[in-house]
Amino acid sequence: MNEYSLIIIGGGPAGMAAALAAKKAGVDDLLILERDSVLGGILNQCIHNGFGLHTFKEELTGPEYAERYADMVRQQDIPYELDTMVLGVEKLAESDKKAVTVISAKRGVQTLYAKAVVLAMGCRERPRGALNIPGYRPQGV
Amino acid sequence: MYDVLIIGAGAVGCAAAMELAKFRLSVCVVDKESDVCEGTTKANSAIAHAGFDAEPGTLKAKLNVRGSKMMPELAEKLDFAYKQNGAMVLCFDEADKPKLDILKDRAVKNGVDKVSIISGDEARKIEPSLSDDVCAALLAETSAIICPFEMTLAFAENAYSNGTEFKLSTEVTGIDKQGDIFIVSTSGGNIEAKVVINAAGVYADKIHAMVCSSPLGITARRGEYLLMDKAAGNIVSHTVFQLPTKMGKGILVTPTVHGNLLAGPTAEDINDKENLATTKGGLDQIKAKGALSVKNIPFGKVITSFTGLRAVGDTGDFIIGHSDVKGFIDAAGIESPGLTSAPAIGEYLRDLTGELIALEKKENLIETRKGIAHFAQLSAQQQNELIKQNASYGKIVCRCETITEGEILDAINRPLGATTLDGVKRRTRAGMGRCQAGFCSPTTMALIADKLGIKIEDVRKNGIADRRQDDE
Ligand SMILES: Cc1cc2nc3c(=O)[nH]c(=O)nc-3n(C[C@H](O)[C@H](O)[C@H](O)COP(=O)(O)OP(=O)(O)OC[C@H]3O[C@@H](n4cnc5c(N)ncnc54)[C@H](O)[C@@H]3O)c2cc1C
Repeated sequence: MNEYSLIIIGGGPAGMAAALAAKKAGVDDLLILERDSVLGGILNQCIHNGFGLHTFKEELTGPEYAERYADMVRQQDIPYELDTMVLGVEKLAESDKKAVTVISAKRGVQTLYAKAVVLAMGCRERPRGALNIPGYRPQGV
Repeated sequence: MYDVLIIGAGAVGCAAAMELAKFRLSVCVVDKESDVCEGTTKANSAIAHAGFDAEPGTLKAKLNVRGSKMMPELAEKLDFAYKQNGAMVLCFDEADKPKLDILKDRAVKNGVDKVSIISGDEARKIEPSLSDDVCAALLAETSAIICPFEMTLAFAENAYSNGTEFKLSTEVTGIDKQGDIFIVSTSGGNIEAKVVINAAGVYADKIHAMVCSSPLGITARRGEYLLMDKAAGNIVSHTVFQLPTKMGKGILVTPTVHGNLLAGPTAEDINDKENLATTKGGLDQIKAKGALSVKNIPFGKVITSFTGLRAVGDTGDFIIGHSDVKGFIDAAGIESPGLTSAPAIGEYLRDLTGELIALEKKENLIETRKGIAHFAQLSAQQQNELIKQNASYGKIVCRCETITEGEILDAINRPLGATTLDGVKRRTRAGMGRCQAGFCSPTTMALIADKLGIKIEDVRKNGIADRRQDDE
């Protein structure tokens, strides 16, 4: 199937929360696309605790907190595809649909269509080079 | 015993190897580094210069122009990136205009086609981002941008497929001539050869002195650069040079063949031939001088800085020829335009070799080389065909440059394949993008470790593995 009401790009906390909210509001044909091989996004790197105090009333690490959301996504039967990277998003001229071009080993390069797209790709740090610190380029850094 | 031993696997050594591989000779290339293209060839402006700069009558002029003319066909046959984007030399002062005439005159004498002098307004019409201070410019339409890594790898792979041996991680430590034979001692044992070609870059003086008594000096001249994100890549489409100004020798601003923006190099003689550090002073100079040429260069979009060392010979020209020891040929002092000249230097070294040993044409020569697929540049249909053949092309490892696992595996598995992160990077561009390998390094390291059968902690960025004492 290539047509969805909603495509969510990014399977981190924002993407999963958006999917759960959409499902609760009655959107059934939705899809989460995540380029990593697991759900969770940046939280998988945040191994310190302190997450979840508001939502779950307990103190969790980033990966634990992400896992709670991933469990809910699975419980709600919300489809998601891992190892799938979005290469482009385009609004079609002739309709209000959006074309989302993805790549994965399973699909190859394919264009999916959605009435709505949620961008939940998180953010990127600027690289070390952007700070323009002069010097050598050491190994392992 | 080899007929020919080439010391140095940079652009020059690999070009010579490719030329000599066309004949029935046994040829070996040695390099102290673990990969080809680890010397000066990896850090430069990557311009295939048109040839208007070199003094008429010099080797630099002759080989530059010949190399520049060979480049398009070589790029086609050997599948490396080449784009004829043209170059301008900017003049900022009416009083300096005669200097443009001198360059144009040189171009004519050197045999460079399509060179003209245009006004400041004409220059700005072609390149709207040029500074208002530009009052005239030399336009050289045959100037081009290339990928120096891909070019050198292509030469090496072609030489390899035609029978050339490569001994990497092998440092030459001494050369002895016994009768007509050279005994070359290396970190990997002795190598014997009838002819030795010295293409050792900044160390060509050291190699020369191992067997020759005539003087030959090489000074390392540091050139620093700033490389900017692809978002800045189309601020200019031509390579823009500067005439020297009150601030000294000019710098260039150019798009790279992959669509980044490059500004540099500085020029500073240094004593240390291993010093590839960038400096605050150098980087500040690039910003100040770059602003003379182009308005609003987005220096906030710098993704990295780097340094290259020019091997400046003591004669002012390339030092290529028979030395005072018969059978020992120098290819020294190969500073800019060495990259452009490399294929022509290869031919020249072939001819010099031919004066020492008979060259008989090989049959069944392989004249082409197929590079690694550049997945991101293919059509969706071509991409799907690749993925159907091999699912690893469906996995993106380097997100910034959209480099697939399939490309990385090809880089590791092909002849003379990558064994380090930098090796993968030079072959595929994985790690060359905006995040500078922040995301793809662990995945690339795991692929290298798996394919080479080594531990992930032994995968290196570059260089030769340390033999650690405390290894179990
Ligand atoms: C800042 C800068 C900008 C430049 N811009 C341009 C440009 O735009 N266009 C252009 O045409 N040219 C340019 N050049 C020049 C060009 O990069 C060089 O001329 C060219 O790369 C030289 O190639 P090479 O093979 O002679 O040297 P290298 O690439 O340095 O190769 C020499 C090799 O010898 C090996 N070696 C050294 N000692 C030993 C030993 N004892 N045993 C074994 N191996 C050894 C080294 O490891 C190295 O791999 C530029 C150079 C610099 C520095």
